[in-house]
Amino acid sequence: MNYFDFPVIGRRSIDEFTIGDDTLPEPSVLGNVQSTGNWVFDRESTPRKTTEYWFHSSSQLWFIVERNTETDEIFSAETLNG
Amino acid sequence: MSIRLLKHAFIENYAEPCWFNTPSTLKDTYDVVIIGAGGHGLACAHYLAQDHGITNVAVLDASYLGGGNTGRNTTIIRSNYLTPEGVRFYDASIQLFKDLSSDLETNIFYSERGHYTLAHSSATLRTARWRAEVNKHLGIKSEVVGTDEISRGCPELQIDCGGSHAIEGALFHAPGAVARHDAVAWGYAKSASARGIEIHQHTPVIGLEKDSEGVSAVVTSKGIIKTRNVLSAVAGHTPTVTGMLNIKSPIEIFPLQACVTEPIKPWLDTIIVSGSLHLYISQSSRGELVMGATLDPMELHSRRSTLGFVTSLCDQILDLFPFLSGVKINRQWGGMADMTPDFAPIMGTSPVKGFYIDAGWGTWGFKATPISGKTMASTIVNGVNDPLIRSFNLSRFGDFDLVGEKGAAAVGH
Ligand SMILES: Cc1cc2nc3c(=O)[nH]c(=O)nc-3n(C[C@H](O)[C@H](O)[C@H](O)COP(=O)(O)OP(=O)(O)OC[C@H]3O[C@@H](n4cnc5c(N)ncnc54)[C@H](O)[C@@H]3O)c2cc1C
Repeated sequence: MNYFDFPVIGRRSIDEFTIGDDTLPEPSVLGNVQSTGNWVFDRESTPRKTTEYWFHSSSQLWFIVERNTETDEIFSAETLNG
Repeated sequence: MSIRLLKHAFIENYAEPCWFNTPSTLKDTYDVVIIGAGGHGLACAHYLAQDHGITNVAVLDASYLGGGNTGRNTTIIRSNYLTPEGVRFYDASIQLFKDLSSDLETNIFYSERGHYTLAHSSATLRTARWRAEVNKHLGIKSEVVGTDEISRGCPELQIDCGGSHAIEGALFHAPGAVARHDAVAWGYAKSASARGIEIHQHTPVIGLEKDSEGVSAVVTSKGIIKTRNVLSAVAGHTPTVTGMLNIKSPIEIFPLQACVTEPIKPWLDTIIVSGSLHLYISQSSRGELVMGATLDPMELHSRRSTLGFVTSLCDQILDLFPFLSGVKINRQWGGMADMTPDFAPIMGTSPVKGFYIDAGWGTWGFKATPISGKTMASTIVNGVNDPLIRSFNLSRFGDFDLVGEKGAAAVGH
């Protein structure tokens, strides 16, 4: 099982989290239907280092987690809003 | 050691019939290049030759034939989906599967078992009824059954399910079947190869080129091939390959794991799926119990397998079949599932002319192998999407015109 030291809640199994999507910046203008649809759905799912939103339900805290999507290595975790 | 083996060792071109050719060099140009020698790529090659007489084709694989999700899946075949376009498509695949052993002159061990999707709550039962009605309307055998009928079909099943989540009913789908996954890939390879199509293993595609007329070349580890028609059938590697032409898609790669027990006496002649418990189980013709679960919860580009998967799966399986507690797990493995937001595939034409996509097969694509090959072959030959796959085009996401198959595909593969 994969454990990581999180701020505030300490050492946790990653099984305790609901893992959201990449932290994609919201575009300032969405434009037409097509580009809105593309922003909503399109992803960059290649082996890479990425940051994701993770939700820890028992503490109701959101984290931003930096992870390698090929090796599953976690580099850092910060609470959302510091 | 047998004499036959010895001969193989000493004679370079030992003339014994092979399943498929292994040409040593690539030609400079082909009419069609298929990336990915999984079931889907090989099926397309077979139908290009059989239905359309096109044989100047190369199938390229980064690794060995059938070593991707094709050789890692749990081989459940069914057509009890939720949307009319899905039901029609998967039913057409079942019809092809039924004759596939004789068509390919390869025994694919197609075995009709019946398929139960268990409902442990009235909400699940409601979805089951909805699916049954859509299925019946389209002429598919599918019905909601009560616990007595489930017990008759599978007497070993513990209806109270450990006490906390008793079974209330099930969606029963008589045509539900299993088949031998490797045989499907090898059968298509054999047939395509016999018609002159080249299969190049260990030949990764590392780049794609286009010009004003569309796709123009495929860059491989063994050189550049000029071609005007390319099919990407690389399942868990789709975003990497489509990225070579800057084509974006909603596909995300998630791990899907499975395992088998040691072989035991045949006792389970049907397929049992529980969406609420996240599990499914069937017994192979070798006696192994083939078991799987839902996706791991995070994107991952790796075929690793975990202990946590087996322990939580076995925990749930024992609620349904407590008598299996002494049976050992023999093997476990993982695959890379190419998931889409609506649990329907992405098939057909792409923004680049001549570049075709067959992907988004997630956890459910083995059953679609024959019909995907057939419809992709006709799409490539005609340059327009086959009518059966029109709703599955990549453009549906930009158009907000999704297919809505999640209710029937989330756990039951
Ligand atoms: C554990 C598990 C259980 C499953 N259970 C079921 C089930 O019960 N029923 C069902 O219907 N479906 C099931 N599936 C889904 C099914 O296995 C797949 O959808 C299907 O096999 C996809 O076939 P394919 O030919 O498209 O891809 P694959 O068999 O994955 O073939 C793709 C090939 O492309 C090659 N490739 C990748 N990148 C490159 C490159 N750059 N250049 C050249 N070649 C490349 C790979 O080496 C690979 O051989 C399951 C999947 C898994 C992982």
